[in-house]
Formats: sequence, structure tokens, C-alpha cells
Amino acid sequence: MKRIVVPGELITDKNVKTGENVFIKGNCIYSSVLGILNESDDFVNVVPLNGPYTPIVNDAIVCIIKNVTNNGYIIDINSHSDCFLPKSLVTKELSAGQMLLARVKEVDGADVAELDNINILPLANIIAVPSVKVPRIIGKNNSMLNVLKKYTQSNIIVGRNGWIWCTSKNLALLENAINMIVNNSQKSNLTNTVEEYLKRNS
Amino acid sequence: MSQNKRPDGRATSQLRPISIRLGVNKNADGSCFLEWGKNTVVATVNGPRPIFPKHLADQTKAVIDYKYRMACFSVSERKSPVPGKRDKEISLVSGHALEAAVMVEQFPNTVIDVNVLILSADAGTRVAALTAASLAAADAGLPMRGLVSAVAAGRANGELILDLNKEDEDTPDAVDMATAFLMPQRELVLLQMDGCVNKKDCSKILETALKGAEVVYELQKKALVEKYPMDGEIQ
Amino acid sequence: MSDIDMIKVINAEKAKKLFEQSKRADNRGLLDIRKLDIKKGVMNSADGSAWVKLGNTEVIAGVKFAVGTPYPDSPDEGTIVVNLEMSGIASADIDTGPPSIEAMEYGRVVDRVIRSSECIDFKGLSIVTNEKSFIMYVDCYTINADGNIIDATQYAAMAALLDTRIPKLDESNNIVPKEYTEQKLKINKDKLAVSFTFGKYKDKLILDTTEIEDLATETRFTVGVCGDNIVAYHKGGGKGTFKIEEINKIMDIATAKYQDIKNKICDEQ
Repeated sequence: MKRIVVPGELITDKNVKTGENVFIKGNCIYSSVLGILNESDDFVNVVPLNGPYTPIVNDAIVCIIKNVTNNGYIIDINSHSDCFLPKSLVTKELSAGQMLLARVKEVDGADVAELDNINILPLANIIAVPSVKVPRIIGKNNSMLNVLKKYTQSNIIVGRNGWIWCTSKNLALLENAINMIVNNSQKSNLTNTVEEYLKRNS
Repeated sequence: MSQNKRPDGRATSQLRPISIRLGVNKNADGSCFLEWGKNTVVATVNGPRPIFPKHLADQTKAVIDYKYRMACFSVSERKSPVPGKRDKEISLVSGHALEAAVMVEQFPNTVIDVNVLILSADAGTRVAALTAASLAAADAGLPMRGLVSAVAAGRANGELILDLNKEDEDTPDAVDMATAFLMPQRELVLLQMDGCVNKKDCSKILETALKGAEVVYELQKKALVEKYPMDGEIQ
Repeated sequence: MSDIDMIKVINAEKAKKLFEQSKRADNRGLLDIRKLDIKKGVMNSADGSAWVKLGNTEVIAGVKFAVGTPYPDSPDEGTIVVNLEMSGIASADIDTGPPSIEAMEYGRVVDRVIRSSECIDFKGLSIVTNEKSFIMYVDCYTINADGNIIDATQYAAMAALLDTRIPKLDESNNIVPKEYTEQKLKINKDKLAVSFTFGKYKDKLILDTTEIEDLATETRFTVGVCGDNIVAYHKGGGKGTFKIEEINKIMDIATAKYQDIKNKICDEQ
């Protein structure tokens, strides 16, 4: 049975391997966020239910140019700090407001990220969700994403940073479905329920 | 401690009713609406995000910008909308208290904005505000060592009591001690008191406050867990 | 904030190492207060004044009377307002300009310690019930900031109040400038308020910290003492935490030191 833990809550006093979002004090392991506890015999971690995006190397992210400087671009990556992209990395002259799909190449401490594999995205809608919900929006083997694409006739690129680039025949329905996933991400059997909902409304 | 009833019918170590709603503000990363007796508080948390102006940045941690404000209509005589010394001091010490809970060292050079608005005041607003702010921070998914559970305790009419309301606070011998504990570690992160008390009573009031904070902590935990029901209809 | 002074950062690191061995750079014990020197009546223009030197920290306090309307919830009482200004002359790290939020915090702590102690007879400051009463403004200025501004300011304000003469009033109850009645402000010396500010580093409590030690400590706690009673608590400065046992220990230390500091404040030179 999955269980929700709050920040500071004792998870175990056993000596087990730890994953993300836990901290160790003395001989005990505590949760550091509000999230779902993932516990097995020799491993614990907590999957957060909300939270800021922290860039990790190899993340594919959707980002937006915020400002243009002499030698590069300031890029909003929906994280706690902005990113700098040198002009030498892109072939075309870009302007503020341009959307990009990029890969996180390097992360300097907890602070600044570097990008590469820049793809320029055409202007379209962006739906923002908490980055921790992204795995649910994609689903196992893209199952959820395929359902969303099929019933709303959409073209969707999900950035790991929680920004979803999309063009859709039925944007309102897509937004509703994504909201549904975000608000119920802790529950099971979500893909089927979303599929039924989309079937009924498309 | 005796179980004498107070003017509002509460026992000496009984809290006023507290109700908590989370995620009330969709524009904020985390938010909390809290009713504590006749106190009404809204708290929002945003960030961490880049800090401006840049010279305010701290290379070792996120800065918590805690803003405690009282609505003009929250007290019996209209309060000036300009934040006074009291508001600023409460903002400062409450910000420090929250810093002890949030793992600010994970987000250097950034700011976490915490805004608390008191809509209706009936004594103990700073502790209600801090309790709500800590919930909003947890709701925003910020990494934290624990929750901040705040409560006031003190003395009125010669009795040591928990959670003073305005009536208790206006008695001639009133002592009001605002406390906030980092829970479950039970460490004090905020402690303010004025009034004249002997040492023994001081220790007793602190113990009373800790017991109250434990009750507040259980309510906070319950509210956070209940925001995400594990089963039930998906809508 | 101006630039970080690296020398201070290095010295603060040294201070931390010393704290771990229960030592301090100036060879004091962790709970020793620096040399306290108080001069009263240092300024002619003020109704009462005092100059306090606490180690290298210097604070001047001056009292000025004004006539105002009493608060509706205490119609037969006068009132006191304590203000603190930490100006640029006190330290290179303090910006000039409007009072900083720290100065505001320190001022309010001192204000609370004095107000809650009941050492001042506020009823004696009433002129006409419900209409007129005295407001005592205690304005404090840091001349030299070397840590523990709160206690230095509190001692200065208290000493200045002990030196305060009550001004003469004319027929319409306004203050006659530069003329005083025979009587001094009544202060109950048994209930004199004294504050003690502790820093904390790991599990060590340090009394009366210098500026460098302020940088080294994790948090700060002020306790106001009057006789055997406690009149104010204030936890400030930083994200450190306290255990309840530590607060009890602080109360014991502060009450033990009370008499000595009180005598120094009351002392007539």
C-alpha cells in the first residue's frame, strides 16, 4: 500500500539505500518533501507531489528565450535560475519569446545549467504543470501521452521541466485531461480513466 | 493544570478550532487558507526563483522573503495599509523561523517569496500566519527538514493557558508567548514574549506551548495527507 | 549590504573553532560580559541621556518628552517609544538611509523589555485623563557597532531613563522648553529591566557576542529580566534552533547575572 509522507516524517530506522527526497539524521531516514513513499526491503525514496524543477543532465526540456544579449540568449527553463545560451550554438538569429526544445548538457552545482541539441519550436501553446507530474503525463511506455494525442488530435512535446508544448484540434479538452492527470496523479488506474473521459468528450 | 473553563468555554490547555485548506490559490506554487478560531489567514509560497536586485542574493542559500501583512479591516479600528514596525519585525523573525525548516541551501542565489495576509485578527496572528506559511511551503513541494508548528501560550487571570484569544490577551496580567517549533524535532525556531513572569512559570508556559504545537502538528500532517486522497473517484 | 569583508569571514571561522573549545578571541569565558561603562547626563539638549560602552560597542540614548493623546485602552497612562538608529558611522557594513530592518527589530526588542518590566510608573505620566499624557521618546544611536547592539541599547535606554527629569508644563499643559520640575522620572529600581543576549553555535551558548562572533553564531536569543521575573523573550537572527532545556538554562544564567548589571546601570558616578 502506498503511503503519503510529510516533510520531516520518519520513514525507517533500518539501514537501507536511499533515493531522492529523503535525508538521514542519526540512524534514521526522514522524508524531506510531501510525497508518496516508495519503500522496499533495501531501498527507500519519496516521489514528490509538487515542487520546483531542478535541471538534471540529459533532461529534454521545453524552454523560452527571455532576453537577447550581445553574445547570446537568456533562457527561462522554468527553474530557479535562468540559463545562458551562446549565439555560437544556434545557426539562426532568434528573438525573445521563441520556444526551444533542448537537452541539459551540464549542470554546474545547484545553480546554472548548460544546454545543447537546440531545436527551434514553432509558436504554439504551452501548458505548465509541476515537473514532478511529467512521468504521469507520459505514462508507462508513452501510454498516457498516446491516449492524449489520439483523442484530442494533438501534437505534444512534454519537457521534463513541466512545460508542455502542444498544438491541438481540441485544446480545451487536452487541458482538462492534463489537469485531471495532475490533480489525481497519486491514484492508480489513471490511464484508463483518462481514456474513458476523452472517449466520452471527443 | 486545572481544567477550568475560560470565557469562550475552552479548557486551559485547549486550542481554538483550526481548519486548514491547501492549494487554494492556483497562481501560487503553494498556498494555504487557515482559520484558527476567529483568525483568518491566507498564505502563499512562490519560488525558488532568480532574485532581483542581484546584490540581495546569497551564494550559500535561498533568501526567504517573508511578508506578513494585516488587511485594513482585520482589526476593530481600521489599520493603516502601510506596513508598520510590528509587521516588519514579525516578517523578519517568521522568515528566520521558516528558514530553519526549508532546505534553503539547495537553492543558492534565489529567493523564495512567502506572503501571508491576515484577513481577520483575534490574537495569535503571527503563529497562525507561520503555521499557514509552513503548510504552503510543504504544499509547494519545497524540501524541508520538518514542519513549523506555531502556537501561543501564556497567562490570563492568573491561569497558565494555551492559545490566548483577544479577550484573554486584554486581561490586566496577560502574558503572551508566541512560539514556533520545528516538528517533529521539537526545536524552537521562534520565541517571543512580553509580560512579567517568574522563571518557573516561564518553563511551564513553554511546556504548555510544546504540547499545543504537537496538536497543531498533527492537524498540519492530516491536512497535507488529506489533500491527496489515494483512492476515490477521479474527476 | 555592502561587499563581504573577507577578513571578517576568516575571523568568524576562527571564532567558530575557538567556540568548540569553549574559548573566545578576547580570552573571555563563553558567558562573560565585556567591560561595561555607563555615563549618564552626557547631553544638555536631552531630558535625560546616557552613553554606554560595552566593550567596543557604543550607544548613546537620549530621552525627549512630548505631549500627546493617551491610547484609548489606557486613558490614564503615558507611554514610551524606543527607537534605534544604526547609522553609517557605526560600521562600514551599515548603509546610510532609512532605518534597516535589523535596527527596527533591535529597537522593538528593547522597547518590549522596558515596557513589560513595569519599572516605569506610566500612570505618573498622565496629565489629563483621556486627553493628555506624556510620551517619552527614547532615541538611541549606535556610535560604534561591535556586536550585541541589543543589550548595549537596552542598558543605554535604561540609564538614560534613570537620568530623566520631567519637564515643566504651562497653563495649557504644553511643555516649557528647557525648564524642568524638581522631580526625576520615577523608576522602581527593584524592577529595573535588564536584557541579556545569547548567541548559539552548535550546542554552545555565548553571552555578549562581538561583531565577529555574531557572524560565527547560528542564531541569537534575548531574554529580559526584572528581579526574579522574566519580562521578554525574543529569538532572532538566523535559522538556528533552540531546545526548551536551553531556554531554561538561559533563564538561569541571565537571572544570576542580573544584579551585577543592574547595579552598574543604577550606579551614580
